[in-house]
Amino acid sequence: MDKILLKAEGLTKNYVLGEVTVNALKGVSFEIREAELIVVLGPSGSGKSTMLNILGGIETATSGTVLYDGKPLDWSDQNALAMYRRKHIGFVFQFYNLLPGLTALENIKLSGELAEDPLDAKKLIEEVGLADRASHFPNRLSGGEQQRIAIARALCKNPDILLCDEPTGALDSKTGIQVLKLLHDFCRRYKKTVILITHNRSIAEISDRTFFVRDGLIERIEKNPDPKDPEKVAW
Amino acid sequence: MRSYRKNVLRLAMQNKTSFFGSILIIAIGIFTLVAMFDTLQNLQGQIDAYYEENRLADVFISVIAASEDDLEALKEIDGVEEADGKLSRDVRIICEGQEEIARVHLMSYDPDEKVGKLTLGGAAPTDDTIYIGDRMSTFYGFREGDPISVIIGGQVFDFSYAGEVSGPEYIYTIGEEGAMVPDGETYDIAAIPLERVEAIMSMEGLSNELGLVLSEGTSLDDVRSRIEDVLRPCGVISITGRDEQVSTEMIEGEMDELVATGTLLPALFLGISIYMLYMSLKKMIDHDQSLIGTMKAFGMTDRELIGSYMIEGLIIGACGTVLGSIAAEPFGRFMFDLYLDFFTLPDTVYRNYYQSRLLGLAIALVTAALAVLLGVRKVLGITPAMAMKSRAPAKARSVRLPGWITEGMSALRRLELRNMARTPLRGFLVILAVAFPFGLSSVLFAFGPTVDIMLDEQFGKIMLYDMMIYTEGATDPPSLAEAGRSLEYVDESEAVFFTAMELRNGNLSTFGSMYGLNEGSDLWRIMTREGRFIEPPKNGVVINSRTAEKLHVSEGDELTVTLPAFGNVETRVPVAAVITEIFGEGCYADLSAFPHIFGIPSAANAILADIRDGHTADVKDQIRETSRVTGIVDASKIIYSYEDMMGSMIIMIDLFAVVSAFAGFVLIYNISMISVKERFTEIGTLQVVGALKSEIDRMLLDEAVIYGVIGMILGYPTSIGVKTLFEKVFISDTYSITMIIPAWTYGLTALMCAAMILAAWYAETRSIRKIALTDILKERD
Repeated sequence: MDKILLKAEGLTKNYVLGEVTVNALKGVSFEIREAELIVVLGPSGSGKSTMLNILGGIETATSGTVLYDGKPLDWSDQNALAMYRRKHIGFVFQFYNLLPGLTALENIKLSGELAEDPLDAKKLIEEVGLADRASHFPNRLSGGEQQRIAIARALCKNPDILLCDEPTGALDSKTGIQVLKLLHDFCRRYKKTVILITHNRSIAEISDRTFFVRDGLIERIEKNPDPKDPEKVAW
Repeated sequence: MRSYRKNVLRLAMQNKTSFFGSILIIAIGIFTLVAMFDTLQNLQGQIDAYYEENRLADVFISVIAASEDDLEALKEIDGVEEADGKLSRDVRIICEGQEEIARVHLMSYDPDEKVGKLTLGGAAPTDDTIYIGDRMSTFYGFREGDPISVIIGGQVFDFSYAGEVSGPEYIYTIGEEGAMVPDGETYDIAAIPLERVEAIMSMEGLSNELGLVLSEGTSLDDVRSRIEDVLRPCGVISITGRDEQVSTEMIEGEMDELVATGTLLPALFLGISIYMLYMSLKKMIDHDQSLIGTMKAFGMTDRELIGSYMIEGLIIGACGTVLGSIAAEPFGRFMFDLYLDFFTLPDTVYRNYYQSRLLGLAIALVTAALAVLLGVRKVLGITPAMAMKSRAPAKARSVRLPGWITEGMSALRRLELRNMARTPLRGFLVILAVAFPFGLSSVLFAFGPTVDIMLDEQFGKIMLYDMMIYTEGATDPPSLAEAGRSLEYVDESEAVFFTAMELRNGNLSTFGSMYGLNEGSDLWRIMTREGRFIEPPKNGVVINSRTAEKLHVSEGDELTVTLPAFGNVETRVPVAAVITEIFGEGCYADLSAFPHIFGIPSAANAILADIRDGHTADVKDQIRETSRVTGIVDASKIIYSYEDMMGSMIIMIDLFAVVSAFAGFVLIYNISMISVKERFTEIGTLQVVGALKSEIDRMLLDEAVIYGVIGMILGYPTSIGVKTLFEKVFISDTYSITMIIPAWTYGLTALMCAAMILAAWYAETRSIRKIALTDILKERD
């Protein structure tokens, strides 16, 4: 857990909207270690999603660098960014973004087919408790089921880092806890890094560290000496 | 309300591809409609006015000779309103600058004539003035006072040119034998005062070209038998209604084609635009669901909301009409000029008809409104509550692919196939968008080569002579053939015979020409459209399938044949064969068997000549001064005239091929763009997961290729259907077409379709480069 996997140095992101420039990130720097579970907390518009997207290589920074395993990301090379996402990053979104043309199992397999060292899709669907729904298409699944499939899809690539943008935002408490448990287990069992964005302060109780973001800056970083099990979180 | 309408229009403009694509497709439909109908109205309007003013006859009768009393008797028939007659004869003329033997249909001019009135231009008529048709006058550049001689019955009569003559039944003027297209160098009409014609032809008080005007509600069939009774002593050569008269028939056929094209093509294009508009509006409504719910919560009614979207449709319809109407003018003018190459009309001013544009506008608005109503009917089902919650996940059709297909297939490939199976209608329309230009264009592009093949067959296998020389009166066939051979540079010569005839089967009858040909001929053979050669029969006649159809007869049946030039004796003759010919509508028998078949003496009135290469002009020089020769047909000129006529048609047809390909491209492009935009979230997700752009491009290319290949495969039977339609549309009394679609035209259209598919795919790949992944992932698919 000592190895620094991701390092951000002076990240800024400006959006030009007509005549107005919005400074979404104002020069943030941090380090994230291997197998850490990070929770990012902050109000809407604080810049947490922008930060996550830049770390995941789906958005470019206006200035600053992101180093993965000591190597900087090349913002100008879209192919290199796609390969970075393919090999190292797994995404989980608030609205699942499953491909409606593929069954639950095929959605998971798709991700595995893109990776070099994938996990077994069938085993993963069993682990998320949806083996009996393997042949169902997304429109036949509930929100919680879709999110569990989306997590299995992200895990199937066997990524080094899992980036989760409000993964429980559209779920009820019971389903939300199920989802958190999956993410927690992945982090602990496979020794992978998980970065999770949320509004829900209580979720911070499961993290190793919590980043508090406000107005495009990291206000503070709190270390959690005693991370809780997701099932013990008061929602 | 106004603000919401503004919002709808702004959103529409954001989806420029669909917006302008719909305008373009509507414009193509309106362009075809307005161009065709303006051409039609310009032609039909001027023709109808001409018919009306000059009182075109309803019935045309050709007789040996009819007196004033006969005309009076005709007027007595119930249903005959007016009867009048002219004296006419096809004669040779001699003028300055002449290289060909030129003939005119010489008619008597009577200022008091009541039917089929001729119009004279130039100086007032006198005894020695002659008026010639516009086409020949223009070709030879005649000026008032130019000397023109006419050869009638071997005698030469001198006249001076006074001006042009035109008549309503000679809008389309062609010579009787072999000609297909008006040719001012060799044939036109002419008029001289009645008294002079009577004197020259020694037929005082007689006429041989009669015209009848029937009272309203009377048809030729109602009065035919009475006319035949009255004119039996006059030697009836032919009785035809307007629908069979050469000029009116040709015009009618052209007008019908214009109406068919002007109805079918716009309907096709407007149908496509309905779909495009429907798709884009449906997409817009899906996108605006929350907004619509919110507006309903604010108190907007369904009617107001639909009205806002309707404005977009109406703007598209109106813009399409304006664009189509503007583009239609030059094309309509081009078409009109094309027809004027063949039609002689007193008024040749092209007018833009606002009625066509109003009709176009009405159709375009209805089309657009229909598309809007189909596309936005979902508005009715949206409730304010829907605005307060996020949308439900997109419903996907659960398509199960057989294991043998998906086995070993990557998820991206499976996704590809499922996407196609999931939206079969959209896929089907892309397939149709490929099949439509493929089927239509492959046939349209094959039209030119088909004409070449037809001409090669006709003039390389059937009419092998270089020249046909008509003589005055009939002669013993061996002597006439010998006369032909005696001409310098003529290597081979045959005598043939043609004469006017009437074929009758019970109450059904038709008039035409009987050809006496020679067994084993090397100069004129009988060949079916399928390429089978038939010898002229010695115990019957070979008739054309169109004639057989008219008379309801088939091989083995008997017909009654009357040859007016031989005293109207009726003969029962068996039908030896019924054939379908490429050109013409002949009736053939063996020349040597004429005495046996028809009971008439053996005779010939034309020489077929095979001329040594490069000596056609020398042969013409030898016969030009021969007064017994009434006309010649130069085979090379006939080929040229066919090519000329078909050439104009080929230009028009090729233009439609290009327009149909363009419409196909607009359709493929739009459907592809709509399709890819609907999949932005999916494609964005794939990118986030790590799919390379090249992999996504490949996925889209595979889909495009599969649709394209299926479209082209479906395009093949489409081409067969279009080919059959063409063959039916283009059968006329003068030619019938067996469309031959060479492999290269399929190759060409396949390449064209492939280019369209690749261009649409390229546009798709460009559009997905613009996907903002961060925005896409905030949306629910």
